[in-house]
Amino acid sequence: MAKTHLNAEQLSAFGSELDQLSADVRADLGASDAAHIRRVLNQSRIAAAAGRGLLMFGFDPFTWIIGVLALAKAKILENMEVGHNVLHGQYDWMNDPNFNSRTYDWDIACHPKNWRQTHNIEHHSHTNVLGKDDDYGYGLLRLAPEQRWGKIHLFQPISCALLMLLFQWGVAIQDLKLGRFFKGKMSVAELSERAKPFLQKSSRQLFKDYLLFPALAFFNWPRVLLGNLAANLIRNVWTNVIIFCGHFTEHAQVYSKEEVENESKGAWYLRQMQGSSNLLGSRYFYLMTGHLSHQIEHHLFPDLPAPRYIELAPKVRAICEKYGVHYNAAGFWQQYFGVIKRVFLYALPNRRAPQIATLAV
Amino acid sequence: MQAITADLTFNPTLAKQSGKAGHWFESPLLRPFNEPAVWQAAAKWVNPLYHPRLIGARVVRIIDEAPEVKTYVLQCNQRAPGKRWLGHSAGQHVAVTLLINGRLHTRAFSISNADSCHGAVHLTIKQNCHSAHRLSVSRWMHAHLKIGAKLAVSPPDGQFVLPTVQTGAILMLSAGSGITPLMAMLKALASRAITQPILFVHVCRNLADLIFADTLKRLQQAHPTLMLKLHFSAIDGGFDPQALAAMIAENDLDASQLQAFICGPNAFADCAKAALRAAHVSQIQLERFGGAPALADTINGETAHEVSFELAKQSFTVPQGIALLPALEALGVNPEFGCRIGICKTCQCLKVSGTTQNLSTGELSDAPNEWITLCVNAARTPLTLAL
Repeated sequence: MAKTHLNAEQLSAFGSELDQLSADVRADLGASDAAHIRRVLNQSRIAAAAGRGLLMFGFDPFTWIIGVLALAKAKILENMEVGHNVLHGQYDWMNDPNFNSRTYDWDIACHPKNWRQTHNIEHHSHTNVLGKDDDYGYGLLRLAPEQRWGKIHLFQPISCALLMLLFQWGVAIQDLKLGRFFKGKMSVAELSERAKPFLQKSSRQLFKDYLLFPALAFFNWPRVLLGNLAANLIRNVWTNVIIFCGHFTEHAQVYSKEEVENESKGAWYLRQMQGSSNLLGSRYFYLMTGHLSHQIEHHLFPDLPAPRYIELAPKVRAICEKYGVHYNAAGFWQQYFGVIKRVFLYALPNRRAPQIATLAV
Repeated sequence: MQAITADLTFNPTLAKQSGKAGHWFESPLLRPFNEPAVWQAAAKWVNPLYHPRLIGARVVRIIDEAPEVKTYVLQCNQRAPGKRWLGHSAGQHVAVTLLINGRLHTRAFSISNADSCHGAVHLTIKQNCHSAHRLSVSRWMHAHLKIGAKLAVSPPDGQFVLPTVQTGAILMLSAGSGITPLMAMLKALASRAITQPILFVHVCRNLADLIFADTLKRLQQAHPTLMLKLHFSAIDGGFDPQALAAMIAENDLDASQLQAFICGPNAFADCAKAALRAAHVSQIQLERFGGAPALADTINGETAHEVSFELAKQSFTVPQGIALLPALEALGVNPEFGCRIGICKTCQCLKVSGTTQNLSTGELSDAPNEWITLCVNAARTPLTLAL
């Protein structure tokens, strides 16, 4: 599918329509939004307590499975609906220290400081700009013909699966910029300085899940240790799959650095829209994705409380139709199939020179 | 009275600065068992008035004092260990925290009763009719705060109090709702029998607007040394602080021995202080308040405002048409920043006082203690930032 381009006049009208959408929601924020985030955090805490309890005091495989699922659910809700969204500053207006973007810490190996840098700044400002948005392939995968091919990409179905299983660690070390270190562009001293928050946060997570809680269970420790490992794995796979469906689907566009030079607010909106894709599903599914099912709305308005994306979606879709922009929304399997297709397709070098493909746009 | 900036809002910048090595029980490893929020939730379930730093209170009586003025009688918690109400000194204020439509709002109000050792705190609050575009906490209180409502108050605070050793004559001067702390002081003096001369001057629009008229009349009858001078600006015209010198002389008071207490809006308090200085009154205590000043309709690139950094104790002058981040960078100040388009929140900081405007949405932030992003907000008035 070809990228839609709008002229300067259209872009400014397009931008102000979207500005108006966000202003309307901002003026309407209130008690129900505050109640939602408090409720979800409490749900996550209850699930965590239940899950850890079942793992610690149960004996049979059945309670182990239920415990793992409860703990995985707790981690998914806490990371995706609370952590990710609170760290975006979506709830700063509440004036409540428990939901402040500068102080919130989440139950995952990535330090919030590193996350704000790689996610809030780099990924959200430069979404799908090759060479600027490190989240496009995580420096590991080749997902578009415009990316340079290397022999390493032949193995990318395997590296993609590994990234999926170890996703929290991939995210945690992203801000270390190991690629630059291995290319000799970063000194050991700089790397060790950069690694401090990562080491602090990740060692704490490891200690908690694989030492402290197993130890508290005494003879039941293998059960707890394996349970925590399984819950972390489930969370890793789920977040990875949902996030990949946000930007690497079949019709998600990529941009070059030259294309986004001096882009206006309207052009920024247009790029966010064409670089993201939505998943369709039930309310419960939306909640379990932390409303990243509405990646388009999230990228347009990253600091609006995420449940609001559901009511914004039809309005954004209407604006898209008005300006002839493709609104990339489909069911989970269809979108994920698009992702898998990219992983396999671009593992091989382009048959034709990539310039032709880009010029055809 | 409004807008004495007492900061009880949570400030992570301050919290980080004071962050020494924590206790073992604060370790993140013990989560969620050591999370204050979890225990707060549990404590709130047992006692709905619970708050970790603030004192729980309940509205027990509401008295209509004058048009747009109500006195809220709060019964403060006296049992919670470590954070119960222990009484106040007349003239002090409290910061009240209310949950309004999902947001926590904190505002400071003077206490208008003299003695609160049994936990009954009187707050006499005038509706703020000036802030038209944003939520006014006092207006919300007048409309929605009913008997039985729960809120939280800080411990009492403020240096605007009577001296412990009482000797000479006293001059009390107030305008509008500025009468509240002086009323508390007057009641405190009356409770130990007034022996010294007190000149009580109050300025308000007319008799209908006078708060505490009955109490003032009763006190005047009971205490012959209390001299009451009421100035109604609707009848007598604007109050000229220069008249104070004549009043002092008229009542045979020695200006150099006089203890003066002034409470009123910023402009009034400043004029009165200058006039008293000119009349050789040296012991002056001041309590002032000011709503957000009226804004010009358009942003004028020429106008500049002073921005004070509360923690760094620095101040800068920035033009009002440019966002704060580039304006500060032009002056060689380099706050932390990220995307520069208002989405990543890296440059976000707490605005302690003043009004800012979001240049991309036009949204105004005029309440104290609100979060603003420096990269898209410009100063519309002088500002104080928690930087």
